[in-house]
Amino acid sequence: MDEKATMLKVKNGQLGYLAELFENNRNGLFNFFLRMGLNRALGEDLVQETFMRVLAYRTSFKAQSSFKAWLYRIARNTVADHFRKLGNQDIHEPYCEERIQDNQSLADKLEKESQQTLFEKALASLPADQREIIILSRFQQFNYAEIAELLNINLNTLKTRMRTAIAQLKLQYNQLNGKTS
Amino acid sequence: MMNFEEIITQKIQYLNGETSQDLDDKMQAIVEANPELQAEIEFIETIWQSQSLADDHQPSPALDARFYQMLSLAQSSQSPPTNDMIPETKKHWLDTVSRLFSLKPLAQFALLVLVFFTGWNLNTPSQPLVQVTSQKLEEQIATLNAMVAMTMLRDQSATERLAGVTYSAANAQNDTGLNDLLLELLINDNSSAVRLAIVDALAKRNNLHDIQSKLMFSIKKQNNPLVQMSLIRLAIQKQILIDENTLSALLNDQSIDTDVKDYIRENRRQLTGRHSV
Repeated sequence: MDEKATMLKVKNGQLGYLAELFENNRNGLFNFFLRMGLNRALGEDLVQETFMRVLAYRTSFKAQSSFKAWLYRIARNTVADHFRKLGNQDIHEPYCEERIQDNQSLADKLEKESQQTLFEKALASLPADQREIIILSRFQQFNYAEIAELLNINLNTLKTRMRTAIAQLKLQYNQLNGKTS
Repeated sequence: MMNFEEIITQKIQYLNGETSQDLDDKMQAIVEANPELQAEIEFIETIWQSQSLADDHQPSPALDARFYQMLSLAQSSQSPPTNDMIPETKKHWLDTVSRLFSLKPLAQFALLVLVFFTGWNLNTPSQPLVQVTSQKLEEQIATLNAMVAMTMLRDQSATERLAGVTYSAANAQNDTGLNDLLLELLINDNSSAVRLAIVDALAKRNNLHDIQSKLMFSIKKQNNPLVQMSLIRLAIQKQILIDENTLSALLNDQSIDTDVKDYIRENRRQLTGRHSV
């Protein structure tokens, strides 16, 4: 049974099927939150809150888009609400773990770090909107049409933003890696 | 003329498996003629093909426990109960929940201390002194339990606050300060799971009449229909009567979910007590 059909069962009151959707999406959602810069405790809290909202708003699931797209729309709103409660105007800014100021000294420090660590640091240094596009495409396996729908932008805008995000990621990665470009 | 974004899009879609078509000859020629674009394409290949970058972190088992507790609460809130319960293989999580959240060792230790001191005092000749000492010890244990519960309820982690709700329900129901904190969390906690757990804990109490006005006030503050529904169910279950004006205000409140309003209408007579007139 695909996830859309499973969610329709949940919508119709067969709540036990939510467990199946949770098992399938728990790890992906948790890692989405981590890559967006949240810590583990907050990441778990927001996974829980996201599924709580799935349950609460199950009757609004229209099955026009995929369950995954609907789930991540709720997840993004959950994060936004969380930071709105904390009083942040720019909901994404707190996620940025660090910005690279002194490229050379950081590159020296990070010389021996693994590719993964470098990549994670480069990703964390990006503005949240750029980071999110890369995460959704590379790690959450969303296609361009789904990402455009999720972010409520048109396809051409997404393509431009993706190129900008990748160029920025490459720049940060190379700087951390001690390369000049 | 084809722009660079189209080429990058094609490359990513190919790497993501959305298409079986890699860059065609025309695209490849453009890439080779533009070193900057070529470097970007090579970077994309590195990032998209590196398996180590896609290694996932695992959430803790507590997340599963919290989810299945929430699901169980939601299922028990359904009326009438359905046969669609949690799959058998998942039921053991409910046991895990109760083990995780019960914090029995602390309470057992407190009880051991009480028994020890009571026994010691019973061997002394002064009976009134035994009673006074025993009473003081009980008060101290109750205070200790309330303090533990309040500390847990003020924790930053929702998991810990959930444990605090369970602990307070099991060990410290009569503490005024603790009850005030629970009601405050019922209105303000950012986790729906914690608010649902508080409603569930309150449902197990015998008498809620001293806090019924605060409970009804909290319905309007909920942004989650599940919690709204649970509070209405609690009012019905505990025979907390709601006057017509308050009920009408709830039915006209935009923040109350439509399903919840339907539920209120279905149970209006019971909620207002008019069926007994």
